[in-house]
Amino acid sequence: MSNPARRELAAQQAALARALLGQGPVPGGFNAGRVAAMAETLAHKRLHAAARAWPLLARQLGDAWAVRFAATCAGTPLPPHHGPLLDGWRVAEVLEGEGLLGPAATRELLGARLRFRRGPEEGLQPRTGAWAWALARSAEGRCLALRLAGRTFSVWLPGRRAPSPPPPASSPPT
Amino acid sequence: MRLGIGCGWRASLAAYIQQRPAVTFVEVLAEDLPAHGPLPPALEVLRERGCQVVVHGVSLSLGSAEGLDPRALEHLCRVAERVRAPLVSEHVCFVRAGGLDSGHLLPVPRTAASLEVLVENVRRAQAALPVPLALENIASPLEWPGAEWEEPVFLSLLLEQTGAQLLLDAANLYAQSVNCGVDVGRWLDAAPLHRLAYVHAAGGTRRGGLYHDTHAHPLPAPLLPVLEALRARREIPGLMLERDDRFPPAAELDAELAQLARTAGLPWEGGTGEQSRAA
Repeated sequence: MSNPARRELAAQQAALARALLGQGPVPGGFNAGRVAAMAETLAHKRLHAAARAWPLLARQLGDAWAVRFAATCAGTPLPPHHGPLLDGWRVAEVLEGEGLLGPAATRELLGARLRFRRGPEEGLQPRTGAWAWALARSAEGRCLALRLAGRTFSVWLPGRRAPSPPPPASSPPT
Repeated sequence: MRLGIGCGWRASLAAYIQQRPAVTFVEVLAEDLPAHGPLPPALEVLRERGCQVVVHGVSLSLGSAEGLDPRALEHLCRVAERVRAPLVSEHVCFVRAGGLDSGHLLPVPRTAASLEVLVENVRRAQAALPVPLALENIASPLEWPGAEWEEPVFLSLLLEQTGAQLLLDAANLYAQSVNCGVDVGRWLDAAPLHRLAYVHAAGGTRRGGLYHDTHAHPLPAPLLPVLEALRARREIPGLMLERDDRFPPAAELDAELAQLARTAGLPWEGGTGEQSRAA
């Protein structure tokens, strides 16, 4: 195929994808009502895929999951790899920053951090080393997790709910 | 190759499937399995009892004019090798474009340029895969402007030029009949049924004037006439249920699988599995 024909098709596909992800107008020749209906299906699917990847976080948030998700992820494109994992990760980090992450969701975030590193861009890199450690801040304190020889250990650190940067470990518990 | 009656393997259905020796094949999602490290032990148990494991991909984006993502293809190949799949299947669609991932199977235009892209990508995938590839028709309420062929003719051309097999999704065909006015009989008459490898069936629901193939609802009654119309034209070598969410009680799944088996003329012996050799 000639390069111009391929480039034109690629541009048409990208325009349709943008329209369906709410990031561009409906391309010419398409039924606008059907594009809107399909865009809604895609958004719904993304929300549920992230909830399936983060069941404990989704359970903690309950009805607020959709609101939190929309505020955190709706404006950003779905990453090409590990999309649902990264979507939920973003929501978890917002709650972590607000000191609202429950203990179960904290462990879920630690599990993700032990398996993947957030790369310099938007992607996730698997942590393939023999061991890894990760730290997360929950509503009740900080939790340190360690993965070693295929097993995971975690320990809650002493200290009150920590603003950023974390206070010294000698801070009294609240 | 005769696959028989199957079920989409999901972690939530692992125990159910393990206790159903009448399930003779399962389909695993390539994206759910790791390329390295341990596989779910339940899959190994199924393989030991002779249950075939077909690998199904949803992210290869065979219709992408930008070409295939080598990482996605490599992953599909590794998973197919690891589960010793007799067959790999993917969709006639695109998923990614312009640096965006839709997370969904999007329709391709039915034009010569689009056919050429698909043929090139499918051939590249076939060259890398260890086993044959089957291609599936998708459900899409959206139609591209300027179609040069009807969908079954487009599929015939694609399969003819690549030698790929057909994975016919009966629920997608039903969705197209409801949402886009496709005539099921005419569609089947023009489709490359001589290349049929197996068939998907799934439940869905009507919402906002459209039928949605959700894989989270019971099989709709009008799906059975679609399967009967297929069987009237071609022996059904394999038929499987796709259920991804809102998992019903085992008795309900049993009833759906038994009904599918009856409709397709496939055995469903001792379906509820008293003689299960589950470990």
